[in-house]
Amino acid sequence: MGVQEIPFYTPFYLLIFVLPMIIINFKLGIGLNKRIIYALFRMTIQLVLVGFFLQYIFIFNNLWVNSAYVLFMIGAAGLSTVKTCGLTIKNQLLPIVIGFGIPNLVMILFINQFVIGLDNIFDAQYYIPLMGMLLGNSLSGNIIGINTFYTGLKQNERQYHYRLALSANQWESTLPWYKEAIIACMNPIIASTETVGLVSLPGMMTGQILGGSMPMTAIVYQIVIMGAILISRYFGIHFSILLTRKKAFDDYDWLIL
Amino acid sequence: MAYLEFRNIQLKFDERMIFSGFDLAIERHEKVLFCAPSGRGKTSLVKMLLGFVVPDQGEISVAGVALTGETVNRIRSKICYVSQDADLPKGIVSDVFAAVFKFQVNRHLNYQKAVLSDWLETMCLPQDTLGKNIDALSGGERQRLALILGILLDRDIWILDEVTTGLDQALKTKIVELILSYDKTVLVVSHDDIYQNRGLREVIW
Repeated sequence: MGVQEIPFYTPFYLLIFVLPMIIINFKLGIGLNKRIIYALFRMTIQLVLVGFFLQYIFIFNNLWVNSAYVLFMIGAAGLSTVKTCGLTIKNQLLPIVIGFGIPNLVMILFINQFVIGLDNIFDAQYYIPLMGMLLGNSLSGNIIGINTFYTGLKQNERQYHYRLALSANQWESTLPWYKEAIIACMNPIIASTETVGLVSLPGMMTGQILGGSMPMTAIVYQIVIMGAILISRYFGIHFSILLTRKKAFDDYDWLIL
Repeated sequence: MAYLEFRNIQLKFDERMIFSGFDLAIERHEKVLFCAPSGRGKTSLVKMLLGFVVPDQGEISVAGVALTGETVNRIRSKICYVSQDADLPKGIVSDVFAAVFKFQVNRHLNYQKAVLSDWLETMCLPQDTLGKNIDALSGGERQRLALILGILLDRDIWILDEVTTGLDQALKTKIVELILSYDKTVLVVSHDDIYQNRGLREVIW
């Protein structure tokens, strides 16, 4: 039982509904038209390109090609974190990339090997989309966590200095903000893990059901991915902060980001 | 070599020269009062000892150890720093104290809650302060708690930056007498007359 193929032209039918949106925006002076059109246009182009690319990768389905693509995803996610958090590429890109690359790679290979039990754990069909889901979640978690840690330190500089004077140890002195960062990173994912299925069916499950899987199969996958996301996000933020902080302080424990 | 030494210190803040060729030597257990006029960098000077302000030039040594990035932690662990705007860690007072004594460098100190309640009495703080949140205390109360914490840490060098500012006269006198009765190297930053004629060496620049 496969999914019903969509011809290339029918998605454009949706534009019928975009047209009244544009008219309403125009009449009421709601300045969204440019952004809506740009967003839809960009989304389409982006996805089509990725689709072409992935199609080839799936045809090759080779360990090295697949892994290269996964590394590319990790690099892109790392770059996005560095930029969003205002870190420097020179000092912090590598720590970030390693920081959340490793937990996610370990997690995906573990799932493929032991949970799903694939013959080829680098099979593009599992390796790439599942890794995409893990990385996407780690990415948002990392951004929240790293921001919380370094902004917390910057905003409470005096308190941080006083703690340094009390303990004389950078790790102990920064611990309150470190804990805050882990909590801030994990809060959203814990909330969404709690409510999954009640409010909306998650994307992966929807996709699988549309693709013809039985709901129970889709549910088991969803349970696995939710658990994996939670775990890799947790270790990802620890690793990322631990690795970035090596170059974030000077010899006198001043924050130099 | 003196216990604390500043040699040929130069420090600029936003192009303004605060210290230039500044030298100062302080002996062990000496009690020193920094009473230079405002804006002369008294606080910066004591912060230099902790490595919180790094001079543009010059050398600092504490107990025979030159202050560098490698020795800064060792030196910090010899100093108790209490400032007027002491940013005590957040939380319930008794928890905050307990946490500070769990830090690696402080673990050798035998801290007991009973000792703390004696100190509250000495400092004219009510006993229920222990269960209060730091944020709920007044500035004066926090100041005295920071001082108690400093004393309990039992470090060799005390840096007290305007610690009695804002307290009433009787309490001030009591605290100053208490501080000076200890066999410690004490560096006081203050404009207050209360420190005058008590045998402190006055340093002005």
